[in-house]
Amino acid sequence: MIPLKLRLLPVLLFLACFLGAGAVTVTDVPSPSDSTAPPLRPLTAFYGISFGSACDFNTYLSPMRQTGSRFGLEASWSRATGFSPEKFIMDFDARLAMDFCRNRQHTSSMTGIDLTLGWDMLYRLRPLPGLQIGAGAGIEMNAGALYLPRNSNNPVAARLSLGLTLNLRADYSFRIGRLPVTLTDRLSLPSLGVFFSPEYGESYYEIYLGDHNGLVHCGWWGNHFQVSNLLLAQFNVCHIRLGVGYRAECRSSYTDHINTRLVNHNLVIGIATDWINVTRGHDSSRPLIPAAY
Amino acid sequence: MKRLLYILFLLLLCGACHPYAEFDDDAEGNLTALWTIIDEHYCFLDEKGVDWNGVLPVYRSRLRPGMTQREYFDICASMLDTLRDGHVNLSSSFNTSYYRKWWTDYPQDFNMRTLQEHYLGFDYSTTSGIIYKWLPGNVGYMYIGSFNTPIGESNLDWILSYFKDCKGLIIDIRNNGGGMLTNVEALVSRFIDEEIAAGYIRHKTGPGHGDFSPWRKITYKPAEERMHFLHRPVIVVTNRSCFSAANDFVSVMKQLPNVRIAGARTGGGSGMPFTSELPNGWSVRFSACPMTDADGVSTEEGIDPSPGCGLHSPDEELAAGTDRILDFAISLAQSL
Repeated sequence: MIPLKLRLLPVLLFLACFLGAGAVTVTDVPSPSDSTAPPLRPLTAFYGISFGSACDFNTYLSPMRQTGSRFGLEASWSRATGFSPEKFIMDFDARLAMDFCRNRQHTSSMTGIDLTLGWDMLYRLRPLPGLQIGAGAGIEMNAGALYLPRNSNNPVAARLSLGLTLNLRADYSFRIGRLPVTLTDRLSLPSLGVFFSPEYGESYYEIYLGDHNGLVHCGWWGNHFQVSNLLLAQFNVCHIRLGVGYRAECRSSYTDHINTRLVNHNLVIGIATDWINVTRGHDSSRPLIPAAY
Repeated sequence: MKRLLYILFLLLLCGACHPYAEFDDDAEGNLTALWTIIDEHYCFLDEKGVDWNGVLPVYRSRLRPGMTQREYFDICASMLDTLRDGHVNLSSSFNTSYYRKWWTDYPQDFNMRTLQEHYLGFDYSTTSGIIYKWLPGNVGYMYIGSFNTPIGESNLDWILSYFKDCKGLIIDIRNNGGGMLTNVEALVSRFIDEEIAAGYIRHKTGPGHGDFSPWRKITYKPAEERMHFLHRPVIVVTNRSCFSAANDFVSVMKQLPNVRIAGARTGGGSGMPFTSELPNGWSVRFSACPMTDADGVSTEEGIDPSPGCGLHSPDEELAAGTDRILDFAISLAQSL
């Protein structure tokens, strides 16, 4: 019997080659000022898996914290904008994760699901060679639920939020020996928005019956604080980059006396590639403006 | 700029400042956690006139060092018994507490063996947990012992089409301890031809004893394109062990003009239960959302039979093969 890891290895290698086949290396590209032709704006894609610890707490379900593990998939796509590509970039993030937690005494288990979709636009600066700093804003949608099956008529705490985010990003490229490395830190800080929450003791049966009063709340940092930070090191290997990083996330809300805190720490592993649209032919004279130099 | 950053920093701190009570995992901490959960979430404290603030010192004084888990469990369970609510349970890995006086202090009025042997002749149909049979005198009979599992719509179609030529129908829910409210709606929707008010429900909006939302009307609609049983006598047979969703079924059916409730007063249980847990891992279930009947009257303490339809089935008669309540229901179904 071939171990599962060995059986997966060819698949991963094939996936890496497939993704790398259409990618270009964007280090040492000609400066945009070298040409007046419209620049090529490669799409930088990152696909990763994450796993780590989760601490979930929601007083609608239980006054006790539940701790356990988290597993997730995530992807992000970054690209210089069509206008002022040297100054602006846009990011799109998608993350899906599941939490498997238990209470301190291991007498109950809680399952959580979490989906985040975010888009942002950043203004970027290059204060030092190899360093790019970006700041901007965007929108983020987060949907999820916690499920505590041993509860009777309150087994689920669903959540849904949509809001404006403040975003910061820093990329620093350097070499370790001959190996190009990019260190990236991305911070997302949702600020104003709206979010869903049932009232203090409201059952979902009442919502099903049509009681929709007070379900949507205006969110700000005082009642709905969220932050997500990803620190990622990417190592150039052939035409792809291998990424290893750490993501910390905190989601906290307090409304109608329902206190929610979801905190998790994750190791992120993935691959990144740069994609160029060559449907109209690749003109090597056109300058490349990547999302991160 | 510095001031702006300072304000920004304060706002960030505000976001993290949602305090919550944490209780120690010891005898004192768990008892206090249990008391607090009930204090902040239980919905009948005022309605039942429970002096909950006075309860904690009484039971705290019973704690002593070196108690076994079972002794400690019994103290917590005794504290919950002061609520006099069959929906309140404390569950541990070795026991689940029940307040049983809502039915143990009353006649049972039912014997399953008597029903099966002397009225059904051990020959009946069963589907979706419902026992049904034609009884002599052109009367249909259904026994629903629980609402815990979903009642299938097509199962109901089969049953009601089987009874389509009956003069009257008996729905016996004695010993039905409740279950899913959606079963109540599924069942009632077969006996109405227009939308009806089924009752009212509200929920707590905060930890205060009187923090409640406005009452919200619950309406039931007739089942669309399904078999119905309309404009013919329907007798709902009850005893004291009809509780929770079964109690709710009685409260809705009682308002229909062709329906009579026969038997004994139901056991009540009109609060929709929620569950929470203690630091030691035990769980506690409690009434969280109170419900009333269509007239806005609380049914927490039970529902009386229809006027002139209240009676009991003595144990000695049941043992001898006679079910006085069922006999009465059969004659009522034929005479209405």
